[in-house]
Amino acid sequence: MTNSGTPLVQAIDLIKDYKIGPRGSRTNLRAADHVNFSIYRGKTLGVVGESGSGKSTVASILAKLLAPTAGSIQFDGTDIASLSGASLKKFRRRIQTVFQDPFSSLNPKMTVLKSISEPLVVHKIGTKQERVARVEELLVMVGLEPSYASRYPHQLSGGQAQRVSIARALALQPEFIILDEPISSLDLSIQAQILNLLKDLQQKFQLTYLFIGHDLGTVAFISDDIAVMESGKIVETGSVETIFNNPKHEYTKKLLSAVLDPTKDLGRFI
Amino acid sequence: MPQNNQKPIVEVSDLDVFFNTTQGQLHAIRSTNWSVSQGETLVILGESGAGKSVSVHAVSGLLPITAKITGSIKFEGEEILGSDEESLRKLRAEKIGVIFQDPLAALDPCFKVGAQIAEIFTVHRGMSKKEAWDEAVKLLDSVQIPDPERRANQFSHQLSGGQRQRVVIAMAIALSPTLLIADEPTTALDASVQVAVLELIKKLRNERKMAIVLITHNIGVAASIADRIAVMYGGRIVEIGDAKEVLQSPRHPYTQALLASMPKIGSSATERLITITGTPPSLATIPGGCSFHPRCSRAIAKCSEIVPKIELNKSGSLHSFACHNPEGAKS
Repeated sequence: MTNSGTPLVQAIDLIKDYKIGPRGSRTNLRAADHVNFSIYRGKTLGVVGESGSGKSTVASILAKLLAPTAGSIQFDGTDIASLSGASLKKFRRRIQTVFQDPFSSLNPKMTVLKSISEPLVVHKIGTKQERVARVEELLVMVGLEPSYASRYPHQLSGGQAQRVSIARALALQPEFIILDEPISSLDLSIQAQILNLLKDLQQKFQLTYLFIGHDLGTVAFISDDIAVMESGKIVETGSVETIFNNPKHEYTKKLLSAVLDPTKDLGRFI
Repeated sequence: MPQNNQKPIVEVSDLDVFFNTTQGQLHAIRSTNWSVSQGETLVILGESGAGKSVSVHAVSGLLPITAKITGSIKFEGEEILGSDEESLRKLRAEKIGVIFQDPLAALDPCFKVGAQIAEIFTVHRGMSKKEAWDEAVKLLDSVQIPDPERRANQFSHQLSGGQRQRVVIAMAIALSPTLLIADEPTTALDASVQVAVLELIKKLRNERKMAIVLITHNIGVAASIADRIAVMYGGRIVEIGDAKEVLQSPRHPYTQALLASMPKIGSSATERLITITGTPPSLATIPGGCSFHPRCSRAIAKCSEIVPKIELNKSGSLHSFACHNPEGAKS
């Protein structure tokens, strides 16, 4: 693990149980099972695993959108379970999320200006003119023309809409951003653009990322460390190099062998 | 072609597809030529809106009624464009199998999966219910579903994503078609399931000597299964050829850029990816000249005016592409 000082985010023995099944015969589904990890300031932790492995459950607990059944999240030294009222609102400014499908995370009835400035309005930041100026600044930051402020989501391409979601996540100058499959719904030639953008922004603002993905190649490109999840458990964690060059757990090996690498697959012709 | 000795199943020439919409006519597919032979897998690679699905569904006859198709589509040597609805229906049922991206949408939630497969045999083979059911169970076994008798009695929601896709594959191959169309068959599946489903498709192709046309936007999928690859962009095929050649020595700037923009395993964390600027065009906004010229780093004046012809090399080369100014050319 690459560590430098104390971690910004620390998950300690997280457990999340969902009750499933019909009333009277409820059973427990353990979506997160003793999950532990640390993310250091300015670094990226990549979480990989197949659907249903508990990746998004963990992300929701980190963002305090879900309460864990047991265990805790330390954010910058504070247990987030203890936050409420003003302190919770302050915490919400420091952590933001970008989801997979930009069109379902942007309100179709709001212009880009309104969407991006909404967090500023909620947190009562700036006057109206200041907010407009800030939105234009943010648009330029994510590689869009300021004139996009007057557009509606349906007038954007997938890549542009995802840039808007990223701009909205940046509006409150957060320290930590949860990226939940942010490029999975984008076209191939756009994925590389967004990955580069995320990397540039991380360097520029010293951002800390949790990057959730199912494509190991992509996750490896952006992450410093990788945690591999299988049915609620982190089965292996380590630096990108260790995971790729020396995978220990069977499931990690299985995931690695499932990577369809064109250069590797071309071997079959030779 | 490596499969030159095999008989061609589909031959598409000068195919154009138009859609009449309220905003006027959309020119979705522009003079495309391709073919696929028995036992061969052609992968059509491209981003959303490139025209991949429209191209193959012009063959399967699944385009909406607003579509106007011109050119020629030959199926086992016979022209099928313009033939009557009844013979087309028969052709589709007997000779063409189709697999779609989302197996949950392709299956009926109200019927047991075994019954959905058996229906094919009662309708097209005149089997009794009992015979058809036994045949369905056999088919489930051949697509490697464990405990097929129990599974046949289940509903689609009781199966995993990979098993559902296997059921859809079973339905597609039930009447032993000569052509299997697979439209993004693994996109909705997890990585390890994706590999297993691709292996199954390969196995069935080898056993049954089907021709396969597989649509994908995933270069890894293309590399793992294709004999030949056609790269589509903006309604046109920009490059087509032997899979190895297209992936190892791509000639069209779009294919080159696409391959270069993939994150490679083992690349350092400080690296940046090579990107293609701009966004792929929608069918309504395909630029004049070469569709790719506004995003191309090698574009010259000619590119915005004249559509480059795809050079079909008669000298037996397996690889052709459409570009005015390819790398290595004198400009």
